[in-house]
Amino acid sequence: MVPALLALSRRAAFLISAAIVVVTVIVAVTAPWLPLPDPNGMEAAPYEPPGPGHWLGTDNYGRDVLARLAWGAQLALIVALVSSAIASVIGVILGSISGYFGGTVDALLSRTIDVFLLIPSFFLVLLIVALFGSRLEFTMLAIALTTWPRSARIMRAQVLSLKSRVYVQAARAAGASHGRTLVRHIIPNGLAPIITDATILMGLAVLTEAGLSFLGLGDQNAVSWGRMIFDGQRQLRIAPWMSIFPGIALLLLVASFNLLGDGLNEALNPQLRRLAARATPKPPMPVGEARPATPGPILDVSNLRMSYRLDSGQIMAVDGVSFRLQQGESLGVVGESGCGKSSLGAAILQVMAPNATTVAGDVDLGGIPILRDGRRVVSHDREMIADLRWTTAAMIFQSAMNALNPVIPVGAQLTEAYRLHRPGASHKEALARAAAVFDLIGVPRERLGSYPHELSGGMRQRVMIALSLLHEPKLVIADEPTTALDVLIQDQILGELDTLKRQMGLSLILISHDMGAVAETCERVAVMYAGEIVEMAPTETVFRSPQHPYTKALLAALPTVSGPCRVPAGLPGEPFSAGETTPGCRFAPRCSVAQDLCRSSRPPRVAVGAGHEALCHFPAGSAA
Amino acid sequence: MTRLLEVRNLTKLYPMRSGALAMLRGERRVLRAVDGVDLDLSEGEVLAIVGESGSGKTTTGKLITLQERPTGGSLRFDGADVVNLSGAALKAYRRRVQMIFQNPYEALDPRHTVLQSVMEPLDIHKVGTPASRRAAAEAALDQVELRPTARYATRYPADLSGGQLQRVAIARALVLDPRLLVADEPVSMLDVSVRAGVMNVMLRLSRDLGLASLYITHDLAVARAMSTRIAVMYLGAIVEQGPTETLISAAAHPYTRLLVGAVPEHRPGHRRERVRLAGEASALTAEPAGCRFAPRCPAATALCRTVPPPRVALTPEHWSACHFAAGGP
Amino acid sequence: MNLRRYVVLRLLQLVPVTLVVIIINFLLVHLAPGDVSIILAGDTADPAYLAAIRERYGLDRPFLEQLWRYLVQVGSGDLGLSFRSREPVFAEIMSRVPATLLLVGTSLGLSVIIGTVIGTWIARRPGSTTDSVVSALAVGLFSVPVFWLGLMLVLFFAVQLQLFPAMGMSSVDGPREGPGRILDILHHMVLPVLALMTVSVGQYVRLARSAVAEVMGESYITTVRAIGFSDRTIMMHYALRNALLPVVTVLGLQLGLVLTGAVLTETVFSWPGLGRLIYDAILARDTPVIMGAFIAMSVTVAFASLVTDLVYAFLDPRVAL
Repeated sequence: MVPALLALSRRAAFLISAAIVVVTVIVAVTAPWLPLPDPNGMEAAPYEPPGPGHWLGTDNYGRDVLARLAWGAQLALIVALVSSAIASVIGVILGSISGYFGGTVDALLSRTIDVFLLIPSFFLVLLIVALFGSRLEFTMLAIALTTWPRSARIMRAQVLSLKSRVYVQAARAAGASHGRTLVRHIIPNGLAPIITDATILMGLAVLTEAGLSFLGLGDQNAVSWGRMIFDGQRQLRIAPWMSIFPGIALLLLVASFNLLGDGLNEALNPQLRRLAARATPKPPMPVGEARPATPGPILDVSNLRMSYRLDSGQIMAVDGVSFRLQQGESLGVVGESGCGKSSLGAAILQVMAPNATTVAGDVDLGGIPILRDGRRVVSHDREMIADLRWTTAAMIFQSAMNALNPVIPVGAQLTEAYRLHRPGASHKEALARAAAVFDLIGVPRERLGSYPHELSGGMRQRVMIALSLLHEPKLVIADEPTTALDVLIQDQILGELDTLKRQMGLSLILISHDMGAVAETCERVAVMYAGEIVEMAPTETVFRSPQHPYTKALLAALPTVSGPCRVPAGLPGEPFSAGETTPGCRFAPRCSVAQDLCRSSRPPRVAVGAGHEALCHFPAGSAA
Repeated sequence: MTRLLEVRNLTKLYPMRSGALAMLRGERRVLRAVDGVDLDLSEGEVLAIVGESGSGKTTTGKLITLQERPTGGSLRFDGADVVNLSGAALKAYRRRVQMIFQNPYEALDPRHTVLQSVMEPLDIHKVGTPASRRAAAEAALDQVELRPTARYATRYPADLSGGQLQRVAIARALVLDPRLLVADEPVSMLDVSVRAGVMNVMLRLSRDLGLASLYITHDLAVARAMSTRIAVMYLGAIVEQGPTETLISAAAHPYTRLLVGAVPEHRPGHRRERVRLAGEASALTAEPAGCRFAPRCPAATALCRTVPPPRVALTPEHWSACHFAAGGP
Repeated sequence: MNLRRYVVLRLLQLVPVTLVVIIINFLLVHLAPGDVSIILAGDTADPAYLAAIRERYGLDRPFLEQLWRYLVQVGSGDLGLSFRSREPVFAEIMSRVPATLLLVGTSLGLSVIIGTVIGTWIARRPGSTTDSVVSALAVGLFSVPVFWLGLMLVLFFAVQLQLFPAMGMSSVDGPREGPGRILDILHHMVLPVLALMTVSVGQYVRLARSAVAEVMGESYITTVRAIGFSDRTIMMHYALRNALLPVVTVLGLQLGLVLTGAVLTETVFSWPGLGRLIYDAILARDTPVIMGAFIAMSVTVAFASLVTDLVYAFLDPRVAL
């Protein structure tokens, strides 16, 4: 409800500004026919305050302020349109050429663009108008000639990024000429931010013209809002309305242009909207009211549900997941993209994205209740999870390039994390501990002073692992720790995790899309599909006698290097998309053995062997 | 089988960015992206180039499709040298050599429908009439099993999934009836369940159409399923080449052996020892004195660090660039 | 590359900007309608002065030689003579710099600080009502014509309430020295600084907001949250520093806009700075002064962008020196 209202209020700003621009356009176009006095007519008495005769008063020559405002709108819009159009066209052409052809052409053009960006445009316009005379054409041309580098820079960046798109390369590889590629593929796809920026340029142009007119350099023959303020300035004490109203008109029009640009930008950038999306978490639960934790397992997750709020509505990323992990045990969570495996990891440590929240389920970590019915358990306003993070459970994130702070040396990131949970520890102790975990994971100590970007991908991932081991946690959740690493390095990292697990008695949750990686590292495997664990069993069992049709299909789709060579078998259809709903089994549409029952009713979770469960009406195809 | 593509000593050196002052002092460093690659490819054959990031496998593909020009070496297609093609001849070459790229989500122009995208190569080469182009494009969609084609033809890329997009990209590559298909990691961004379907489409097409294919991948398991021969690249050079099954089961180069061993998968009853490898592959900026894998090779000797390894032929189809390929330490 | 070499290299990059600006100046003067000597000497110049100007710029020489002379002259700091005062333009500009510097420095400093604080504050909850309203207001603020805002401030605070002086930098009968003079100047500064600050603060609010919001969405923020750092620590220690980077970048590039605002503000408040000098020059069609001001402003902006680049390189280790 609230976010909907917010979205509306953002849209309201957009709509109001669009309305203002439209009204200005209408007034400007129809000014000659509106029932307004002649804007240059001096029939009325001068200095007449706003009233029934002249709604906005008259100026020092007895000219009607409202009429002059309407005619001024014409000039403002012409300046806005012509200047920004010329600037955009120059910018698009030069920016495209510079970005597309690269090399010397680009070196020359982009240097030129850089130089022109540094030239303060207003002063150049001032000089041009002072030298060439204050005619409107010169003013508009001068504004365009000083603002094009903005568009050029944007277009160049656009083209540089579009140029490497596959469809552009494919067109080139298919034999398309440079001209065809530019005109058909690059420029149309690169124009959006230019159009957005053009609205901002319009605002800038209107303000520049007004500023010029205010300095007395405006076209003497035209009615300009800036000129009106210039005239009003001297009569400020006698006739303040002479300057107040044109200023308001200027402000409204320019602000509308800017807000329009803003709204367009937001509409074109899903990234910005994603940042704005926020979920409202359920109220916290005081620890006194919470059911105590079941003693025994290091982690107990029961019926966990977590949802994301998106533009299109809610989606349930984790939908009723339950499992237990004993101390020292390792569990692999495998599934394809969008199955909810990473969300599960984030939900356990309560580090979800701002637009995600747990809506149901209980979680116990290290014998302490941290989540009850989707509500965070708190003690004196402090979340129970707060004291467990990194000391009891730590996390290894995917892609350590982004998971480590780029502007702080890795050693400092480790010592800060160490001292956070050991408030008494000296810097020296923290450094000693950081060095110790570096030794453990095979990172040379001299790397403590390096920044993440100075390390290789494998080394960064090792630093990430070292960071997770700082406080000797009982449980480590590794979320795709080897994705994007080369095969040999991946193998090394998986080996390190395996060793650590044995040596330190760690409990490990390895979240991965890679069945193989999980097979070699974990004792137990949970297969996720569409937010649910569809099958969970000891690793050997999953590979030897999978019971769920999805697990079977996944295994059959995997190419291998060991064993006899076989052609991987594909699955029909597409993965279950979040937001879809079905009364039956979510895998049914792709399942080769699905029956009517599968499409109409939710499958049960059945125990099919020792520690082996499957979410299926007909495990192992037992449709007899 | 007729030999379609013959690549000899293919080399691509990139000048490295260095500061203006370094340029003034005449310091020019080059990146040896592709460093003397030899390849042969016959009709109906699928050759996989396998390598890690920075091995030069993608650049090799770009050189063969002439998206980039080699710094040295020769490239013969159908017996004719194509390195310096330009104008109409280049356009004709591009018609016969098509490419499929890694990222399906950027494969199609978001503003064009599926049909427009598939028809575009025909438009570029002005093949037939608009009606015949349309028919050809629909036939191509049918070949990649996007059926019913009419349902897909009018859709925009944003409405399709990764697997479907990649199939459209394959259809676009096929619509000109090419003789060589270069596929650069076409399934690496797809989920396992979708990946197998795309792989099967490609397998069937190369079988049915008798295309020669160059399949570039980092994944040995995928290469095994797709190819008849494999070339393993490391830092710009091929270190081992041979028939797929031989190369995987009887790798002669230590790097290949490590690669095969490092593929994570379920190997029942088999717990392997991992060797701690020294460092990571870093780009080559100077011609290496000895074997380029020597700095990381667990079995490297003094000889390996000083003398470039010869190509040791193990069978007529299988060779390895290792001093000890035929046996040794 | 070491720091000194980097600074020298960046300083060298000032050369093309300066060259381009001087050449633009030269070309404009020659393209403009009317005789070059009259443009440079004024309509009312006597024949002797006209001749002197012709000699000075070598106006009877070939075009390229004129350009060369002009480049050498401007390069050595000679911006010509104002034809109102017949004083060197360079000296006139320099004499006005302190007043403008005081105005621009104060308002820029204030707007950066206030803008960053507000922007960071609203970025804690992007998409909230506060965020939407403040963001829209920020857009509104940099859409305000600064000269009009100045007039409105005069109307309200000087004319109606008579709280602050409407013009000048000091009172005619005010104290000439000591703390009294400082107070007097401060009193005069309030309105112009307020006007200039208001129009530029929105820029920094938005920059800081989007930068912080973006940083808060980065993976490494998830890492520090998982480690257990409090939201407050994350905000102050991690997000703010990274968010300052774009503010610093823009600071240099936007100086041109701030200087534009300063000229217009000075005009409204009769502040005896560069803006006022330019305004008077425009009224008198004193071309050499306008040209000199253009060169001076361009070099200043280029220099400022250089300084911000250096600061950026200092703040972000990823920039290879």
